[in-house]
Amino acid sequence: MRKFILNCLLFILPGMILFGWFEMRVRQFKNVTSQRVEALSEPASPIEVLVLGNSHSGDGVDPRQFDMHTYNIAQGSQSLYFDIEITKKYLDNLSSLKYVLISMDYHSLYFTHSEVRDFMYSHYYGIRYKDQGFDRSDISLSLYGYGLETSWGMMNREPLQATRGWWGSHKKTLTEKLTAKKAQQRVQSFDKMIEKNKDERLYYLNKLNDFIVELKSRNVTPVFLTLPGHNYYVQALDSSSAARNASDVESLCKKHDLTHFNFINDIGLPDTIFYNVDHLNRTGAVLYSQKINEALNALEQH
Amino acid sequence: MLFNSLDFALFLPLVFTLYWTLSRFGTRFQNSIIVVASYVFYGWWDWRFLTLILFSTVVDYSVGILMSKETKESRRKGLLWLSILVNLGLLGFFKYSNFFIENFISAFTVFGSSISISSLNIILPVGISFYTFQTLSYSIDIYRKKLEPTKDFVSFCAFVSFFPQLVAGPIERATNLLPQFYHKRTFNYESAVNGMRQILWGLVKKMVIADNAAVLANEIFNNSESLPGSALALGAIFFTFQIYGDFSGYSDIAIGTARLFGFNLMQNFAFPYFSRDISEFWRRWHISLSTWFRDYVYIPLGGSRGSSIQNVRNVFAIFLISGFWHGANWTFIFWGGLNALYFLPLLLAKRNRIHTNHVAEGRIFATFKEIGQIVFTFSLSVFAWIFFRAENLTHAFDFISGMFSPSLFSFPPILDKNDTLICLISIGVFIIIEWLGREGQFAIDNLLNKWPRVLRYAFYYALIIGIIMLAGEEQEFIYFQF
Repeated sequence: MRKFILNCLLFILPGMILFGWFEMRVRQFKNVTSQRVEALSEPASPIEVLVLGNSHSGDGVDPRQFDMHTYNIAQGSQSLYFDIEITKKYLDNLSSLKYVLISMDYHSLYFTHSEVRDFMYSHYYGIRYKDQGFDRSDISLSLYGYGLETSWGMMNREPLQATRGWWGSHKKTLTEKLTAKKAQQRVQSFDKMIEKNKDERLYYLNKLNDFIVELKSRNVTPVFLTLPGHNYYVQALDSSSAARNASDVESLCKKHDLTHFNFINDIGLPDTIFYNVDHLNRTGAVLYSQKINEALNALEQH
Repeated sequence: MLFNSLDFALFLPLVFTLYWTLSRFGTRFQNSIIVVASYVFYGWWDWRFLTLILFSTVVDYSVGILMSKETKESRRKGLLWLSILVNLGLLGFFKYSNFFIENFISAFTVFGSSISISSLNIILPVGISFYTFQTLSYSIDIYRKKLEPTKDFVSFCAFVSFFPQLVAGPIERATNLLPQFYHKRTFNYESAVNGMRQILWGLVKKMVIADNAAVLANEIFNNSESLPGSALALGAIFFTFQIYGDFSGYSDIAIGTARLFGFNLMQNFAFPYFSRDISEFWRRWHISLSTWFRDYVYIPLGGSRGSSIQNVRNVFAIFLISGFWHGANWTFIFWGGLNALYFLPLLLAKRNRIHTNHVAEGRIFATFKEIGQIVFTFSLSVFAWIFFRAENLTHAFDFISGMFSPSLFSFPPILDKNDTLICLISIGVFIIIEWLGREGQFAIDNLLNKWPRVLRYAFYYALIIGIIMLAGEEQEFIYFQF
């Protein structure tokens, strides 16, 4: 048996060495998230405005348009849970922080987490969704995190350079996706999520409340942000869900004396500022970041 | 625990090391390790169903002992029926309750009355069709006095729950497997290496062939109404390779794993798609189940002896039962019936045993006649698999009518995709390797023996890289649902 085990080990050794090297390369790959972690971990960080949220603000807020030092950590399918936990984790480093822009979208109070992306939060930020324990990506990021295909792709490309956490992925307008049908499909998928996770609403409202209290105790002002959607998208939103969201945000604003930069009702916007029905493209991001900047400056002077 | 999972990749070396390092404590200790490992392996899915295995084990163990003490034939028969009723009762309840309830309701609806019975929310315990048949074979063989009942409960537990073949076979006969638990296993280097080789080939079949073919077959079967006949034909072919890669891959991993522990399980697949007629196909496909039905159903019914009418009855009985064994759906029963129709002409013409050797034995290439026979038999199988895969009979017939339409000769749109081409190329390479190794127990059994070690290792590495690079989306083994 000893010979068998020895031969097995000898057989798998070259593969293990190669795989170990591959895994190391994947772990060391500098992507947008690792660049964000680096920036947030910097002691006495110069960040004055921190942008949170999912792909809506991830695509739609260009930090370069702000007068204050702004950093965008919004990420596709990033839930409020991770927005809050990431900010809390690095608050001690963010000594210059004045404002936190909390993206409040149609589904924000009902979106829990995206299982396929949980490993990224665990690996890079060291944060697990609701403190879930062991994850297979802890063993191998290439096998159980990114998957082999993506990992292999990472070997063959230059790391994406983010500017203050932002990389504004969408330059164009997908005109074929700017239709009433696509908008309805998109809203339907959100409505399903809202129905499925309706019990999460109270959890998130409480979590937000505690988060706001903590930020205010450090003289940081939370500001709610809702970016515009295409007309088709806004028209497709379920009015009762939208009204409940508006009422929830308004209650928090009233309770803590906060501001909501709400652009969802901006109408007559040109197609050219959208990527698809609910995401701005780079042109839209510049336009609305300038608007947010003005509003923030007004708030700062106030 | 899936064979193609990290859990199993950790579990297997751990159990292997424990088993052999502690084997000096004797046979009983080896068997105990197997029982514990098997229960952990099975409990990984749902530990509650371990009680079912244990119950089945206790019943058949007790029936075996009582039967051996009993001299009165009627009482021995009574005990056998107890075992049959318990095992088939469990199987019937968990697997077929809803089928009977739904058909009962449908039958009443046809006659104009409506009844209200809710179908039951029953989870099918993984592998129940396999281990119940295995324990049944034990009781029946004792009744037939072909086997002495065991008094060693641990050995019997190990026989029933032996983890390599517990959830999807091969369905072992007590006469073959149980005696292997009576003797201390000693480590055999050659056998273990061969086992590893068979596991590797099983993983290729499952992860490269079956899982990739599954994605395409699913896409085609799920959108069959909007696809041309040529794409549907391709879908049926993909499913043909999916089910073979999936199930024979599982069997290879099971047999290979058993070898690592010093056990020999029966061959379950013998290159069935190279069969020259349908009777040869059935001697090569899911051999452990086919021979089970042959020995415990077909022969007791009279086999091929008796009148032509009896022959027809027996053939239909065995194929319909086999279809029903696969699942509680009319599609499986129809699939069984169709295979009976394929088989009957050969039986009635007494041409069902003319191809008992390997095709093109001792030669590399087959003759044109043999190629023609293989293609014809393969086409019959592909056609029958449509029923096996379809959601229901209507879906199957719609699929077939869509397939045999003028669009059968159009360019299948799915061929535009890279994934399809990669899958087809993988299947092509796979067929070549299977053809070259068709005289062994599995494709790479004897194929590599004469190769120098460097080449052999390079081939193994190529297979491993193939698995890593070409592995499809992880799918559960199809036969787990049966």
